[in-house]
Amino acid sequence: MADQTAPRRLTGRRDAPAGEPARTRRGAWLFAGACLVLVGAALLAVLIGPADLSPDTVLGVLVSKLPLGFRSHASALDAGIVWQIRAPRVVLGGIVGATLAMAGASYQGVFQNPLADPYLLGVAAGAGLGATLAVAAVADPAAWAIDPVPLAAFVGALVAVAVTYVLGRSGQRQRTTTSLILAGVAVGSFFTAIQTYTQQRNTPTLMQVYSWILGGLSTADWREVELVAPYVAVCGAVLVASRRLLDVMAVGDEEADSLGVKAGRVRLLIVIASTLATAAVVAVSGLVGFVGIIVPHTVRLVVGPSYRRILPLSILVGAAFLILADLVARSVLPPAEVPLGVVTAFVGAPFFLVVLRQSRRAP
Amino acid sequence: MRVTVADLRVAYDGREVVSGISFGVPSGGWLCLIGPNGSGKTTLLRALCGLVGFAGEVRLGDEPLDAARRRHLARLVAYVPQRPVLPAAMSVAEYVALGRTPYIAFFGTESRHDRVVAAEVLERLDLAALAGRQLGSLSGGEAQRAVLGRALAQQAPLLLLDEPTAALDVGHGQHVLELVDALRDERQLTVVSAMHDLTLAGEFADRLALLAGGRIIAVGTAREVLTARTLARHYGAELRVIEDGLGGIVVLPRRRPPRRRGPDEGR
Repeated sequence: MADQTAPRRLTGRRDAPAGEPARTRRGAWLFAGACLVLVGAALLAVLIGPADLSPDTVLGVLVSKLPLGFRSHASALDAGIVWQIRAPRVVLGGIVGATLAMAGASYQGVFQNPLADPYLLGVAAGAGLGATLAVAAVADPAAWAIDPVPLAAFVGALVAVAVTYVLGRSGQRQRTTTSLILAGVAVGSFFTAIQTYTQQRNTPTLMQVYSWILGGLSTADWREVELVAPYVAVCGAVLVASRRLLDVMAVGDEEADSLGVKAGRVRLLIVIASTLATAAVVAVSGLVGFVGIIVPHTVRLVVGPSYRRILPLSILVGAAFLILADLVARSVLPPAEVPLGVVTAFVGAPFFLVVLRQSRRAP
Repeated sequence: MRVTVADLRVAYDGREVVSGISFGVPSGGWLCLIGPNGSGKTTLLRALCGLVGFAGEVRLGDEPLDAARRRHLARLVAYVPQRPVLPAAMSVAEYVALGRTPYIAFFGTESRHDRVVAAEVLERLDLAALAGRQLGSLSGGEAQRAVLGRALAQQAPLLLLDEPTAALDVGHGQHVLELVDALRDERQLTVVSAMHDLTLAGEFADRLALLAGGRIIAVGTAREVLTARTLARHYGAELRVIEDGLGGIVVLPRRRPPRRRGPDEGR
């Protein structure tokens, strides 16, 4: 450094560093690649299923739904299988995977914790308790205008996170991310305790609750897609717009504050957006684990630490991953289905160990 | 930008750690806070950038600090903490660009101008060759330059430095201070720093303020403040203060015979 500190006058306008366009180009290529993978995964998932439909038939039905004036020659039954059973399931799988990956990435950024996932602040335990109470208390769900189980799961998830946030911020002069995470652990354990007790008192409902907790998309239809899409769209827009702020949060709350960003406000915004979106998808898909951890970590390994690249890519990769995981879940033991959470955890747990080993080797 | 502090008080949990401090630093001036550990230097710096609440008055130019919104404040004051958080995998260019945060809308991204300013800073601090390097791979001196680069990208007229040379060897410490001095000259930066190295503090700052127990004990030029008697009293140390004949003052610790009192007992 000895000879490098001589004052040097600044020249006028200059261009950005030369490395920047190259990095942007690489990001654009990766984004395009991830889009292609997502489209490929979605097509594959629509083409494969227990009903033996030819690719022509499936693609014909799909194209006929586009405003191109094309008419499919498929029978009404085949068209129904493609458009009413397979397509909504693929779309819902994509939405669930994208949401969990996006919320997981956002939580990892805002809590500066690689183990953070969308269920960090008690969404899972709250949704589980809500769903269990609804299954136990409602004798005739068909009599309700809206299915009470997803509704109760949604409300339970929001209540759990609200309690965590209030408890995590009180009692300390300065709220830390650690106190929030610990409050999440405590609230999660408490809600799970009530849920387990309720389940024990209502053993006939055990099976239904159990299958909900393991997660799955077997009930997917367009109505569910319409139900969750607005939450996911709005919250997703907020999270994607916050990706630069997540990079600022990497220097810690105090330095973010000194750079003009109120870290506490950013964290609250991210928690609200992530919680609403996660609660919405959990309500329709149950508790699908590991997507929120493994997808952002995989993306991070490829594109580096900036959330400007991690967040959009996690959305695409998360969607593709869950569509493929659901394809596996419904294809390995036909006509039975392996719970989706089992498939994601089966792939996710070993992968997670690999990530852990790698991060331990990092300097 | 002139900085004026009047009767500044900061309390943590009801205990006052900075009491009734007043001073002024003219535009382009460099004031160095010195004083033993726990004397309130860091707290005072944190108050000057609005990171802790305070009573009393701080004016940045004509503007009262507590009336400034956080984002506006970050355009007026750049703060370099003693131990900045350096995300290991972040590149130097990305890190320096964070300094543009106060100029970017909440949900916005950098403008072309922001990128140009960040690039100029990289060039000025000879960081352009390191732009793509990860922060975790930098040496202590390089890392300190990157941190300084982020602060400079804020284009704030007031620069606060908390122990900028604490982690550096003699050579790198000197280079960082020379760099700050050159930048102060070029950009009319007002600098307030906290430093433990009294010789370097006297060498670079226009004025020194000696803090002890949260109060200012003495303010003035190095010659006025760095006296063996004052330092011995407030640092609880035995020091030799030597004029080097070139206008500088050298402060050296002197070895005491065993069983003399340590700094914490001496006050």
